Amino acid sequence: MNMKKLFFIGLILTGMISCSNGSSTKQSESDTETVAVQTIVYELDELLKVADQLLDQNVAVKGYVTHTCKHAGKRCFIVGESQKTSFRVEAKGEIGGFNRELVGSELAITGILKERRLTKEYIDQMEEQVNKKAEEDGSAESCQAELNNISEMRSWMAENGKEFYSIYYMDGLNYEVIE
Amino acid sequence: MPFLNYRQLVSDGRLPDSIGGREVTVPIIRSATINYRQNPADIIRPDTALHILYEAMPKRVGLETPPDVFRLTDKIEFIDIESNKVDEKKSRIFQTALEKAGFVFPAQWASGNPQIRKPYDEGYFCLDAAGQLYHMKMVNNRPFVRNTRLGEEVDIRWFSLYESPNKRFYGFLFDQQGKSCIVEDGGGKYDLVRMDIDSMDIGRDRIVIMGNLLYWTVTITRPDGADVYGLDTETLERLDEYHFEKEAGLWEKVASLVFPWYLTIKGSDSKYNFPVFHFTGWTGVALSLLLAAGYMVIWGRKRKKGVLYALYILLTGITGCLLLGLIPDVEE
Repeated sequence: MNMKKLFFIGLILTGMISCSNGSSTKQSESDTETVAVQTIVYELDELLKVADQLLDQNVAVKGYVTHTCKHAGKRCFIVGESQKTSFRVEAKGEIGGFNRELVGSELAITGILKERRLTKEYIDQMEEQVNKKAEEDGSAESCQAELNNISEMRSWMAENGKEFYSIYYMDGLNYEVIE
Repeated sequence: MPFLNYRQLVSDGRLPDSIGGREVTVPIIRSATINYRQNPADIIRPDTALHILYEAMPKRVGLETPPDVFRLTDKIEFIDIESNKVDEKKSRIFQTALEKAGFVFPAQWASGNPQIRKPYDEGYFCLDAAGQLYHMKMVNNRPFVRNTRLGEEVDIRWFSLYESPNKRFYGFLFDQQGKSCIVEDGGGKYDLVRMDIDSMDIGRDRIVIMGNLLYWTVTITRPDGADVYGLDTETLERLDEYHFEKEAGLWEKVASLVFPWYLTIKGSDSKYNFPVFHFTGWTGVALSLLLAAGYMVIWGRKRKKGVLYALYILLTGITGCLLLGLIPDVEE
């Protein structure tokens, strides 16, 4: 008899626990839904301003496709309204690839924001290689462009008090074409 | 020649690093190689109306055969090939995409390359009822549909999809006036580049294009002969040309005597096969008359069915005559 009571009580407790877990699951699902609905779609230029705060987070960005990788379409580059900065998007998640006909289209892309840091030492090595190349084959014009890029990176690092230069990109999970 | 035999040159270690001022490597040669041929029978044939649409951007390397086919008539429908049922959801998604892009039903035709043995897939080019050419493919499991706007430039007769290794162009377009063009990838748009060759009738003429890094050789075979054109690969402008006149061979000359008329089971400008009667000329008829008359004179009186046999020889000519000579008369 005691065993029967114990079993019955245990059964009720198990039911209560699973119900409460179920309801919390439902609660978190609805929270997730709420979060999904409220996802902000950043303009690219706006995203880059706050990119350091959103690293490794699921964000949505929109921009105009300027280039898709010709071979397999595994990455594309988008620009914002200002067209000053291009942003690389890798094809991951639900995206098998970016077809070349998307060039010129505006996309809203959801994905994980990533950062690649170029350290001070790496930039110094880059400058060394560029100078060496300029000496060897005299390609002054292209080398000067690269040196200008390096100079801009150093300026940015100095202005922001950082020992590295950040290049932001995204592992794209899904996208929609904005009509 | 080096572009045709580059494998042997590589094997011998004799492949030059440049040809005609252009850098040459095996990947460069392969990507620029074009091998295309089209016969009238490729176009003038009954349309099965069922097409295979591959995923154009698969996550895995290589294309995979999908579990469904589609038909494009007054609407688009995807049919599961195992259950033979219409996939309503997928059909609705693609139908919406086509209507949104401005596609006017019913479709006239859809041209694609339904095989997985190719480097990539570009879906189908479909001509709508208003003569506009649409590019349709499945990208990331969703429809991609775009009006190429080429129907505004030319009166399109046919488009033959060709997935070139270097992705320079989508295929060959032929208009109602007989002009031939390629549809180039214009960075998000579709550019028409005319091939500098004479007009052709794709329902009657055969076209073969062999292209390499420097030149395209285009051969048009017509009923009266063949024209060969050498075009510059970049601009497709004519650099040289040659015309072959069709000459009747010995057999053709003899056959017109031996066979005054004959049957073939194929219409040259019909989608279907059916018996077609051909008349080769009065010379053959004259020979048949002579043989029939000769038979009547020599054997006609000796055989009961002499008149019948003479008529038989008149209809069949020398072949009937030989047959009668070989087969003995049972009555005798």
